[in-house]
Amino acid sequence: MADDAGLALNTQDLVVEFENFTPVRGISVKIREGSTVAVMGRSGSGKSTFIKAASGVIPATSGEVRIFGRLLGPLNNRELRRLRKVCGFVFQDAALWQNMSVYRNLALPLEQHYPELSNAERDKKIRRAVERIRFTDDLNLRPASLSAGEAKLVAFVRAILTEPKLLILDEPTTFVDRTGVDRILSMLRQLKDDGTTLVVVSHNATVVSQLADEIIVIDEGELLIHGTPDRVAASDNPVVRDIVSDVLDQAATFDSDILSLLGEIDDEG
Amino acid sequence: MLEAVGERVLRAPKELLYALGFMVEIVRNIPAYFRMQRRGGGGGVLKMQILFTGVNALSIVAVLSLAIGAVIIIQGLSILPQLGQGQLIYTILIAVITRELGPILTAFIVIARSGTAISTELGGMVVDHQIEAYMATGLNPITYLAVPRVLGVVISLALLNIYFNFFGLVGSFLVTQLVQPLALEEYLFGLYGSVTLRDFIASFAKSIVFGIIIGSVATYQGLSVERAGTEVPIRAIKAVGQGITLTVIANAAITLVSYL
Repeated sequence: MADDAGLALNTQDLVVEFENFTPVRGISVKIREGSTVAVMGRSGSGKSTFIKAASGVIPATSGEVRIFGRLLGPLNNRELRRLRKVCGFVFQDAALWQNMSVYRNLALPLEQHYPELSNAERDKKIRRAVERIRFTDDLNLRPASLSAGEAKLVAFVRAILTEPKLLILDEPTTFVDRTGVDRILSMLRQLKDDGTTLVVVSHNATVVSQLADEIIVIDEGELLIHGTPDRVAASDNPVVRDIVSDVLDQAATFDSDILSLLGEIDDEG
Repeated sequence: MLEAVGERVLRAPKELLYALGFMVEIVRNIPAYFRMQRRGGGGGVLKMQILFTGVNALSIVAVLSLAIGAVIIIQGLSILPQLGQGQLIYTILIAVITRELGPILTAFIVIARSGTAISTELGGMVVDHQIEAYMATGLNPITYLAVPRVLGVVISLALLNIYFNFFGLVGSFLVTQLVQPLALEEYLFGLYGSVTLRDFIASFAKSIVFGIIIGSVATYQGLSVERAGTEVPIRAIKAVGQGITLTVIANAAITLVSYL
């Protein structure tokens, strides 16, 4: 327990086995409270399975997971609720509940974690969050009527409404248009400033370069490297270089564009 | 080849143990479901299940029970008087409709309609990661999804059995009026003289047990889908096959215990 002081997430030799394959093979990582960690890897490398097992959404075959020092194991309903209140999750494919309206998708987690809220207070909280993300005017729509990007935005709002201390996001910007990505980024920045621990699976250069304090690279279910962006960029491992180079190059181009733009503004000034 | 056969043989008891464990888990989660309902959640799922399984099946149950009641009375009236046993028709009506066909035919209807629907819906939710989303929100899928569905099936089946009995016996009376007009009072007295409390208890017990079996098997099969959409229809077929088999076995067992 003492070893977990200051850690939001701690996995030890985490293994996930399915019937025919093993997508996660003994991953151990320690993620500090308040940090933002980008998880990167090629398609099918086991990133999504790792973060699902690390957050207790799916069971691990072996190994240990501690969230804020609490060992995940068989949890009763009350313990599960308590854990979920502090650990939010955004799914890669949104995973909205299709048998409910968008509004119910957002209200259910609030009812679950904040039963003391009145209907009016809950409604106000939902409307305020929806206004900030601006994804749809009609909250009575069924998720099937939304585009993939809109569904992703709803999933994002659903996860942050309960104000988790640890937020795990699986490709939060995929399918989302540029303005939507900007809004998600701005909210993630605010969450980061507020001290929320963020674990983000992403290939988006902006997300990685502007938010990540650390990068984790996974390949074939194994951890290749975990460190600061500079340390990862300096890695000799060709697989790591291959995975992160594109993203870091794009980020560098983005940074130099910004610098030259600022230079032009200064010159004009 | 031998290895595959051996694997299948070993898998069957393992799956049976899982299924029994799942049933225990459902029963264990019933109090948690009612606690959740008091907090304002999950009631909608139970209501929808009763609506779909019970209310929406009323018309098919009414047609089936009217027709079967009519057939029994026609057969009975054509055979029994020849043997000088005309009064036996009431005993046969109670034995066939109340004790046996009421519970088992409504169970078959519910397996065909709701058993497949439940397993398909839950299987689809697994594939779309909606079950994982419940887990991520802190909602136990057993408490939130399986318990109200099983309860909905049990309640609906008990009510459909009463409904089947009512229409089955009314159907018999209507046909009697066409073939051999009879006073309602006499008909009701005949039935009253043939029915026992044991008949009601056995019939009701069957509905409850069948409901638990059908609901548990369907939710178990639905939640057993792992990843692929192609697993969903396979699990739905299993839900029907296992539901029918277990219901028929339970029916024989309850009849044996009740009337021997």
